[in-house]
Amino acid sequence: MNNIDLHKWENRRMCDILLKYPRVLSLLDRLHIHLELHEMTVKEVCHKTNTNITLFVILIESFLDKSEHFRGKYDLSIIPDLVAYLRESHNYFLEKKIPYLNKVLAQLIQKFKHPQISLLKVFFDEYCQEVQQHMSYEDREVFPYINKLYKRSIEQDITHLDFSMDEFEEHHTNIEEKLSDLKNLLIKHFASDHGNFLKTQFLLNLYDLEEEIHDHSRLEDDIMVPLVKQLETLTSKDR
Amino acid sequence: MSQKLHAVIIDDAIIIKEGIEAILHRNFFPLTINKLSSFPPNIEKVIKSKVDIIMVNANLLWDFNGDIQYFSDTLKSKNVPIIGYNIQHHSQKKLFTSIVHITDSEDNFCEKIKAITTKNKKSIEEDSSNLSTREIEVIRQIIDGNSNKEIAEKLFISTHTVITHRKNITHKLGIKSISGLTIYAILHGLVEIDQYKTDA
Repeated sequence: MNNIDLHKWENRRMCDILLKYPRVLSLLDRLHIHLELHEMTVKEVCHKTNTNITLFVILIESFLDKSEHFRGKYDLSIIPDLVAYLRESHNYFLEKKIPYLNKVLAQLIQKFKHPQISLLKVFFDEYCQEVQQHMSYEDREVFPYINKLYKRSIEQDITHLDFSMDEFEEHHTNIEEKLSDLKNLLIKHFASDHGNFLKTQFLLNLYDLEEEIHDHSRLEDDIMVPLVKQLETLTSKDR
Repeated sequence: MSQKLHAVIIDDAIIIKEGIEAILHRNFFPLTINKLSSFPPNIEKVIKSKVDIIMVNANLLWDFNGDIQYFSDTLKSKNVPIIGYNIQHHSQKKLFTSIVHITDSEDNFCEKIKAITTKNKKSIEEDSSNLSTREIEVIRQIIDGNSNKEIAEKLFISTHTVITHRKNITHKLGIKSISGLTIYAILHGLVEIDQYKTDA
């Protein structure tokens, strides 16, 4: 039922994939894969680290294929691991990536001799707050709901759940917009003879963050939402 | 030239057409060429996909039954430069953005094309940051936290017009968020800096 090519990936060496597709590197930490890879295949690594190989392949393919075609049918059984991964990604954005960018920005502001550069700090802080609110809403409302719904589908529990994917879709805001504004402002309107290395580093990291957030939103909108909706239909039929 | 060049050649003389094609291939990369043997009845269709330059054998003008002025005006309004060669009469010159001669050297010929395509790109970019007085007013209102409806009432225009202004502003500046617009406005002296600090 899964719309992915498991055979294409499972017997490839993990190191080869990482060397060829550097973006996959960021997956490892989020999936708690912290072992020496040597010549191990994807299958072996997933087995050894207790990682859901179907989810792993879905993630790789979603990184590589940015098209709409990626939206497909997947087995409902990946839901718990998918939710765990999305939660871990939130942690990655809020606890690692954004603080790192904040550090680079602080250094940039110090070095960059531009009277209004600190405006970018106000802007970025505002953005971070927005992301924080967006993600903590999902951690607090959406993920627990999905986990309960999934549990209910297995245990035939009929407790009433006061939430739905329709409600989530209504609330799901775009958190990429401000990043593109920030890039635009920095590239077009800030120049100085100092701190340009840091400016470039900050910008490159912004591009990176933007792409990661984009991939993350796609996982939620194109995989999580359709799967959970399917689950909602199934469990409502049971009753 | 690292930017891709999209060229259209209109000529019924195969030797000239293929000669131009060969020269372009030697000097421009990446490059796409669309070759036509006569004036297309619908020029809009041709420039629907991206076109950086159109090259026309002026000799074809004699046989063309359509409205050549319309053809030329459409291209000018869409900012597509049109280069003519094999000019038969000086009255034809005004139809073209630039003229090349069959006797031009290869370097000379390519320099003209390069000059015209880069100049054209630059003028579009310059236009894009040029906000109208009305657009600046709309930015100020947005920053003050007004809704489209409120802006419309304050500036005595329709909400629809406000939305159009906002679209144009986003298109020109590449900035969508209110905070982004605020920073832009501060940097360009459209509002005072205190405004942002107290709001934020």
